[in-house]
Amino acid sequence: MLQKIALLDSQVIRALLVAIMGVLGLVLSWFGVDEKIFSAEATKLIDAVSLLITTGGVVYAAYARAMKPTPPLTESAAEQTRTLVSQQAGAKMQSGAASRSNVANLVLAGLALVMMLGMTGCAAFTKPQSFDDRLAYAYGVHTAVQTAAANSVNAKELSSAQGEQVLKLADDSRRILDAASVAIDAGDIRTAEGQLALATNILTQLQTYLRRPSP
Amino acid sequence: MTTNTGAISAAIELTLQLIAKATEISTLVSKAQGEGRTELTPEEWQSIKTADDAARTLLVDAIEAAKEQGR
Repeated sequence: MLQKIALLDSQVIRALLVAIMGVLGLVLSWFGVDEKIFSAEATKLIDAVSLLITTGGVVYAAYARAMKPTPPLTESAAEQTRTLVSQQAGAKMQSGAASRSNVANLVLAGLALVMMLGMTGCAAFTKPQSFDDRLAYAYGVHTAVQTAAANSVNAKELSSAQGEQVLKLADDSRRILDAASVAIDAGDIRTAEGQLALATNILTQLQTYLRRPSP
Repeated sequence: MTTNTGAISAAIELTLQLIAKATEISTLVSKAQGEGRTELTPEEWQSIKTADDAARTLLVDAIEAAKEQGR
């Protein structure tokens, strides 16, 4: 049976009280009290100490919440905690399903992280300004698609037949990219643009396929 | 669940490769632009195409290995 404890007996509440001591200094500064009593340098020092105390309080509150027992402080919290414990006891019986779900969650978290890194990276990529720049990026996508497909085949996520489909389309798009390269060298920008657009279209389809390969 | 996890893993793999390759190309493009060039040098093109050929070889080898394992 969970018993609630007094507010001031809680480590978290104590840490909170320490953390909000800095607010007192802020209120005093609104009334200019600190400027009348202390020099500018001393005020800066006091602000720094106040920030340190606040940070220490918050860090300790987080530590106490994570590592210390957390008995409820109110009757409603005690009731909710009892309900939670009861639910968790029931959930333990489905631990097999939970562990599988955890694997999926881990993968999804990884995907989210990669997407975040990708978005961060995109902002850092140099924007293409010439045809050569765009053609170079298209070759880069082509290389990435082939490498990713090879790794997926090795990891048994793609079959050999699926790998061959990717290889065929990759070969087609490489021929078109090479043709675009020849055309731009010959000064035929119109043909080069057309070839690059065509290759980009195939590469986009390949990326879609690799993200969701059909069985 | 296994199929979904595999598909997600393949998507992560592709995204990682795209980021890695785009970073490499970005470095070349940035260098060219910094030097006031609108074209890449023959050596730069050679390095891009050599890397692409190496990736193709990886894929071909992976397909052959998968066939040998009956996959």
